[in-house]
Amino acid sequence: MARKPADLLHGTLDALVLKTLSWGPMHGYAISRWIEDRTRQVLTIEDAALYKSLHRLESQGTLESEWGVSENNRRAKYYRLTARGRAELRAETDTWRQYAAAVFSVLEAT
Amino acid sequence: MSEGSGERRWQRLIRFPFRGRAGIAADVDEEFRFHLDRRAEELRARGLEPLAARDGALGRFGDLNDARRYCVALDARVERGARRRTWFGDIAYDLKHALRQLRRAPGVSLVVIVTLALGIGATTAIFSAVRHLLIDPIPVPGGDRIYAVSRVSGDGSMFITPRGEAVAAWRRGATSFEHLGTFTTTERTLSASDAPENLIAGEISADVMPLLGVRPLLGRAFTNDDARNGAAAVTILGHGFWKRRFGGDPRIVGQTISLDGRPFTVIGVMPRNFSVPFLFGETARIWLPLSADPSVVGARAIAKLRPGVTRESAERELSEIMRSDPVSARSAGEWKPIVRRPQDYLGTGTRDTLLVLLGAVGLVLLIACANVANVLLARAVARRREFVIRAALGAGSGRVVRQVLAESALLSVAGGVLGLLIAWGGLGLIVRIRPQQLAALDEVRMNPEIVAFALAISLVTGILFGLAPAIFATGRRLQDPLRSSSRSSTAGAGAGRARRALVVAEMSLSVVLLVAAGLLVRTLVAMQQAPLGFDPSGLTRAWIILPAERYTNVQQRTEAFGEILRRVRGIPGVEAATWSMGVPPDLGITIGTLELEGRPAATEGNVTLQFNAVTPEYFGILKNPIRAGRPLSDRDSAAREVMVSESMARRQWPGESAVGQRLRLSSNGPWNTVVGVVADVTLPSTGGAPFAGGQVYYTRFNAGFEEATLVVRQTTGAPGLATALVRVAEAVDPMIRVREVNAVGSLVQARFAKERFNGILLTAFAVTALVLAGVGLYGVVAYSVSQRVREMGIRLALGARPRAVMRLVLLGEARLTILGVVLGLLAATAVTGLLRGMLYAVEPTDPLTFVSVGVALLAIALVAAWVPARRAMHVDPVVALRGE
Amino acid sequence: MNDRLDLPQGTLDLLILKTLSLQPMHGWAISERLHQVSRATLQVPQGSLYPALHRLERRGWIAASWGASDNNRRAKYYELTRAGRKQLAAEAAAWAKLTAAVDLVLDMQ
Repeated sequence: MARKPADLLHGTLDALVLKTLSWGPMHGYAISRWIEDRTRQVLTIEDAALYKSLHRLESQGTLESEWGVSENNRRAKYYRLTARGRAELRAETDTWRQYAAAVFSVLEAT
Repeated sequence: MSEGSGERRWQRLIRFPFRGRAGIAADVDEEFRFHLDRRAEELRARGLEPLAARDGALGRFGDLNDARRYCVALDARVERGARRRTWFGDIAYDLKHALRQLRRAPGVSLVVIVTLALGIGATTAIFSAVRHLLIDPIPVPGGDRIYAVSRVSGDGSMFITPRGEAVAAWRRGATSFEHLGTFTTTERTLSASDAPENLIAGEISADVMPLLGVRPLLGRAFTNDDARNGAAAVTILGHGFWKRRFGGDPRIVGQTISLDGRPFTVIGVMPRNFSVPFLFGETARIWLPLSADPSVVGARAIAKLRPGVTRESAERELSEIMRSDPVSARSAGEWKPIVRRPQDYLGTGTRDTLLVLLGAVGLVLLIACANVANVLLARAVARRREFVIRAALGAGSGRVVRQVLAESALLSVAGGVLGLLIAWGGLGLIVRIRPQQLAALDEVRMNPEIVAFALAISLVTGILFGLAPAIFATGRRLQDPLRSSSRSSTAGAGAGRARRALVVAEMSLSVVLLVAAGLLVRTLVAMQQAPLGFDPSGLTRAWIILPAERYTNVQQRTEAFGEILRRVRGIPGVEAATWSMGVPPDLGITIGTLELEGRPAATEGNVTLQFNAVTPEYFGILKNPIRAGRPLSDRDSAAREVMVSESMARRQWPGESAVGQRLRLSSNGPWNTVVGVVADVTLPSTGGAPFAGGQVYYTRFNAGFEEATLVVRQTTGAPGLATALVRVAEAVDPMIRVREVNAVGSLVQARFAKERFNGILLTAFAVTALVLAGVGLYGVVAYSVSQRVREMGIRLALGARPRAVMRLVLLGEARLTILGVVLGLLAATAVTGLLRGMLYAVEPTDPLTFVSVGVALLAIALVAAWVPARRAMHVDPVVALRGE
Repeated sequence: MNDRLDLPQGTLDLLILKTLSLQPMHGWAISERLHQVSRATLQVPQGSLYPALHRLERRGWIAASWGASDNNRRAKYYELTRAGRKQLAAEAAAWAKLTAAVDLVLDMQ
């Protein structure tokens, strides 16, 4: 079963969102679906947390948003990575790598 | 990706106006609703009932309300920041874009910037001058409450300084003033063995510095004790003098300098540019304390009114107090106290001059603005396609307007900055050529208000003329250029008309300015060429004063003057020297009854005569030719010989020789015999007209006074005399004063100063206007040629000769010029009447000036049109027909 | 991001269970060991360690007993229960799955 976002290191969710958007502008639902599909449902982001993250990232200038028209012809808010977002993605990815390595080092200790 | 993002950025930037809080909440709700709907769809697709799908979507979402609160609060904060950032970001983006656009057309940009700079520079300089002279002449805090206090005669014709007793009584009793000070100037000689020097000393009472809100840069200010009888002599050095003579050494405070042979302790140094209002161009180098004692005669009074006290109430109070002074009360009917601002001292003539200059500079600015509008309009037409494409890509008309405004603003700011530089230089020029009447101009500075004024002009100009093309560009007809590929469509017809009208206006305004300048230049030339009756080149005059207490009788004075003259003649380069009472252009004037022997007395009533008391050598030294008879003999006044001017001789003794006739200037006085007739010495400002009453020369009363004017003629190229004369005087007696050493030529030139000032400035403005109008015409013709390249190509291809094509262009634009010139000449006839008071020997409708201005303008216009027309002649039909 | 990482609660539980699976320890030693094994990357603030221990104890995954520490002071020792050992296996598997998923998204293998 999927884990709760609380198990994710703070910042990992941001890294996931930023990474997803590095493939191109998407709306929130598409981000959520993309992560789910990519991880074959292992990783399911809570929607509320996703949107909080999106709005926070936008306020930090790592994302920008605009209203566009979705595949089914509805108005949807699209998010896009800024230059600052790309830098932030690199930093968050490094942090994640470091964190995962540390946890593994504990788990593998005998 | 980058293409798309650029466009998206564009759209993002035009998201106007900003959302309110309700809008933000609605946005978040819509975003969430979209998400929930999609999620529900997904669940339905997996086979859930619609209701269950909705609940499922909500359940998956998590705490919806918390997320909503969080996002709305965050977005609101972001929005507030963005409102600021986006604004600046957009400005930066617009400016960057504008800079690129302007760099793409450097010629056009340069023309606009220089044009604006000239207009703004001239306006700012003249505005500064006028502001200083007429609006804010005393630039110190509370300077608008500072007045000169003097007395005016009952008929309002004469102003004199108040009596010392009256000032003392005012100081004791008047409540209208914050401060009441007195000041005067004297000339002093700085005795220094290496370089003695004459200085103007400003003498100020202890109240003057606090009145002006000034403290010394170094040391202390004067106190009332400094001016007491028997107090140690002290001085405060002027800033410039301190720098020049003492290298700005602060240790000078406490040391002594010697003035007129007496030691003065330096107690301080004045701040830079310190001066007292109402000195009118007298530049004091050092400052001395002036006693507040009523016995001081001839000191001028300066007062700072309390806030809220009117001029009238102050004068009323002064009158009342003056009546309590028994001496003043006796003349109360004849003299009334009056307070005046510096601008009250400007004559109406001077004020007219300023207003004419202000008008002229306004015309220059108008022309500059017309030119800028012209160029920007032309560009807007050329860029219609660009704007239309932009609009098609989704830029709102507001965006395009903003874009064009940014370009204009950039141009105007650049023009404004360059204009400030021009104004700064121009102001320096104005100060250098100012006439005596405008001495107050020496204190003109560029102040922040004036800088703000210049920037405001440039911005308003930019916005005004940026807006016209922008509105034009986004007008209703915005759509057609895309449909019709041809650039020579009727699209620019309206703008073309506007631009031709602008050129006609520019032409006619230039004509007005040129005519005015031409008239003033002719006045100046007439004055410069008028015969003076003597040769001022190489002449120097100096005023020599013997200390009265040491030279009490004629014998002593004769010896001293004789010794001085002997030594002066020995100075290398001195050809000749003599004494006289005065030297032109400063001759004495006497008002009296002229009686001629053998004629009925007092036929003419009172006459006004110029007179001088001279030695026999005087006429030779001045090269003032003797027309008949002989010079005065070198005997004392007992001989009662006189000489008269040529015009006077002709008028008083028509048809007979004046030599041998006798005249007297008061009934019952002794008769004087006319021994010779000399050429009239004319005042330059009358342009060579002889002095109406005539000129009479007496034999110089031998050393009758302790003061005399020394006249020296030097060989050409000899160095200045000032120091040599001071040395000579010191060698004879250190107490002898040498004052007002001036080249006579410069005194004569000073009499032209006002006319030269007007002439130079108006000519500068007129030439500027002409250049601007030429550039404007060039722009119009060049543009119309570029628009008609296809047409020319067709004509040439059909066999038209190149010359014929060029003629076609020239003829087309010649109409504009002729129309402009005719309108301008008509306007000029209406306007030049205002100049009448400034003209001499030239009528305001002087045909020569009008004709030459018309011809000159046509010639310039021809050149301006010829350059682009030649290009039309060389159009390559193949290239032209191939299209764009 | 600073070099030391504060742990999300679930991960902290996992790490505590793993650490106690090696040998019983008192709270201080747990945090010391985590710190040491992760080469100073993992930082467990005392403020979250003790609540976590109490939580795990209440759930029955660990058991506490009083003993003497190295320096002969009285200390509370924790050890893993059987339920705890099962929980550790589940948590470790979930962690591995989560990590793999995140790596998938972040394109790391």
